[in-house]
Amino acid sequence: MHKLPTLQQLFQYHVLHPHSGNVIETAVVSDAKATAQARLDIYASAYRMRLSEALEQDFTALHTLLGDEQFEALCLSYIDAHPSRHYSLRHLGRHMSAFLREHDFYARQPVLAELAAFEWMMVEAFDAADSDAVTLHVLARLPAERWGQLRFSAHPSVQRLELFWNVPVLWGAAHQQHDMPEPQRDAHALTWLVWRRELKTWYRSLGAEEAWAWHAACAGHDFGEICSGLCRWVDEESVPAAAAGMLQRWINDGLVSAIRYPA
Amino acid sequence: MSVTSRARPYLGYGLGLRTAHYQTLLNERPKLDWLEVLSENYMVEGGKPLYYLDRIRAHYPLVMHGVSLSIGSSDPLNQDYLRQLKQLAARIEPRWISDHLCWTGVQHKNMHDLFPLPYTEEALRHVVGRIRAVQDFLGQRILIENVSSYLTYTASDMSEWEFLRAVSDEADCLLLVDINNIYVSACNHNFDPLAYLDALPAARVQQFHLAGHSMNGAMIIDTHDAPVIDPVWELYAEAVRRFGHVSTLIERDDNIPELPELMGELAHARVIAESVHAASAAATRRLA
Repeated sequence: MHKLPTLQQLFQYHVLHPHSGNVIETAVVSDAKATAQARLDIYASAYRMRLSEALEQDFTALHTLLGDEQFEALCLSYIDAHPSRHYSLRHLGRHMSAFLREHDFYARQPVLAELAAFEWMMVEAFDAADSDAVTLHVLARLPAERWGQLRFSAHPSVQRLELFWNVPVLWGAAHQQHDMPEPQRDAHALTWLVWRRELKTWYRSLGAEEAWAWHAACAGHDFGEICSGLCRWVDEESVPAAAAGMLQRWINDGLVSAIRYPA
Repeated sequence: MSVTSRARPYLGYGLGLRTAHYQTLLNERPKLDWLEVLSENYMVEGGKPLYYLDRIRAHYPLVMHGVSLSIGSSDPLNQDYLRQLKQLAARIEPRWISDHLCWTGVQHKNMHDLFPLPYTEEALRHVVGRIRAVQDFLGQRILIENVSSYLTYTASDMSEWEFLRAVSDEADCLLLVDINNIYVSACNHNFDPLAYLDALPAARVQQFHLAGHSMNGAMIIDTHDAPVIDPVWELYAEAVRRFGHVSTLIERDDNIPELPELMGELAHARVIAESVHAASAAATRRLA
């Protein structure tokens, strides 16, 4: 007779590898109603169905792009490669993009990994920590001589990613149940932000100079340093207005949760 | 601490809180006595889940019901999970906290299912010790729920109800009796559901679950995706006859209908329970 830890390991191994023929069957009662194998199979098939349903909820656009059959195959491969290690199914899909990027078969369609990354950022933004967003009134009250020293904190929900493919277009079509457009790749990656403002999730692209400025702001550079850096893209005399315009937009979008400056 | 020394808290008739009903609950405030929330769905940092939970809790008493405590697992208790659970409880002040008599995974994996335990002395000792540890950590007694099961282990040397009774007595925990799960397991394992009810310690029974299920060949699968069926209602009446006024909840996890349909089922539960109570009162008067 197996001790509890051994019994549970064998049971779980059967659920994870139902066709391995391990010895758990001898530890389970067969009767006229059902064999031990049939009884164990209920758990094994329910496991795959339950986890696939969770992935389907989080990767709606990936599902639409691949179609039912291919998406189901993907879910089964993914579940085998990345069984859940968290107490909540909410985290199950966190490796999906990397899985698609590194898998021999799926890596041939690089749009898949990018689409999964985008959808996962939606999941992350959905229940990220709450924080008040800074308003323009706060900015207006700051002494003008302090502007160069301002530093910014991003809202905890803000996610940033680089996309070569027309992923947001595909995502939008899937969620609006329109015909899926053809995946298209640009020569250069575009930076996208995904974030939650109040209860709604938003996304938008950033031009090269704004992408650099946002990255610099998140890395802790002050407004003066950001202005200097923007000279790569903008005439020196136009930089203050361009930088102020960006900051205003970040604040209006709800991307900034705090502004700090030295006392 | 003697379980009979305190009156059993009674909340009435409630529903499981589901996202599909958030707006209706806040806008229309339907007459529901209480709501049960799935703990793991709210163990998040922020956003919509906690926003709605905070607002809904202003209008309805809540209880917390978990699926990942994994009280029977041979892995160590997940301290991170317990901290999150306690933190959520501090935030929403539930009337009580429940989880299942099962295990959900070992070797740090979570299968997100409610796997049955072998009903052995070894498993009993293991589970009792862990329930006590969880109760000490949370600073309150928890409710343990019987699960539906599709297999029995050759190692089991007691019945599920003997095991459940022993667990609750020795761990001094309370019971969430899922009437549908008793029915499902009774069909799958050919036992008498009334024998199950008869064996339970009445003073520890603090909540009932009612739910629907599906057929899969000769087996019944606990899918929580359909209305409660008549034999389960009949078993519910038997449970009310034995345990009296027990907070009752309709649990629907899939194919979730509009709120009025679930409230209709809840009204049916109330009619059944009240007719049992009335019959018991009449019988008592006749004896007096």
